[in-house]
Amino acid sequence: MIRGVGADVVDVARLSRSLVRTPALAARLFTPAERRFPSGAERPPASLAARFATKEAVLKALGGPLGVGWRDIEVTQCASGRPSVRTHGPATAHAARLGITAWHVSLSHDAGIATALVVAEGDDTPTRPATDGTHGP
Amino acid sequence: MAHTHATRIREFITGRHPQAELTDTQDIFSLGFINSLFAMELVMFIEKEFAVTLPNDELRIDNFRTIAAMSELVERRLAATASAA
Repeated sequence: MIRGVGADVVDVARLSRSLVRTPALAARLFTPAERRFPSGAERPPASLAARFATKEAVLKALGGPLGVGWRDIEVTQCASGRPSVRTHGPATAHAARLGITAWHVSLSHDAGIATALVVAEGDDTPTRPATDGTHGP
Repeated sequence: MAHTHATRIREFITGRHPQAELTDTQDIFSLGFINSLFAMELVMFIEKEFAVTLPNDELRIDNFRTIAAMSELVERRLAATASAA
């Protein structure tokens, strides 16, 4: 059962300018793992913008900004490169309250715009607790 | 003091969106130019401009809906910083 849907678009150049203008911003928005590829190389602005868009899309799927910080929503990547979402703290609590048990994520960036679409999936019991805050494949 | 905060917040918003004519109590989200990136820039501006930290539990839409609400948020965080010092 679909519990929520969220979409967001981000201007890559604008986010890039913000990251340059405010050096502390990257650490505020992204976990250390999000800022790098699994290989250890730093992610370029387009990739970070797609991750920021994902966080905002997840917030929308949860029903809006509800005291959830950007790092409470972590965009992960499995070995195949497929993105997913891991929630922490209040984001996990909100997801549990909505009965969300899995997140499905699609990211894209082209022509200077990063986009994210997320679908929150759950079972028929809206109060099922999330055990470890990990959702997705 | 809150009046000064409101002025600086308004200047930030109109600096990015010159077409915006804002009163202190106007719902800025109803005006159509606020997106997720601008909301993030607004949070970072408030933290930097007023030397406050906004904890996650303050990142609620009602705290940013109007200039007055943001001014109150700044006052609250400044008071919290002062009491912790």
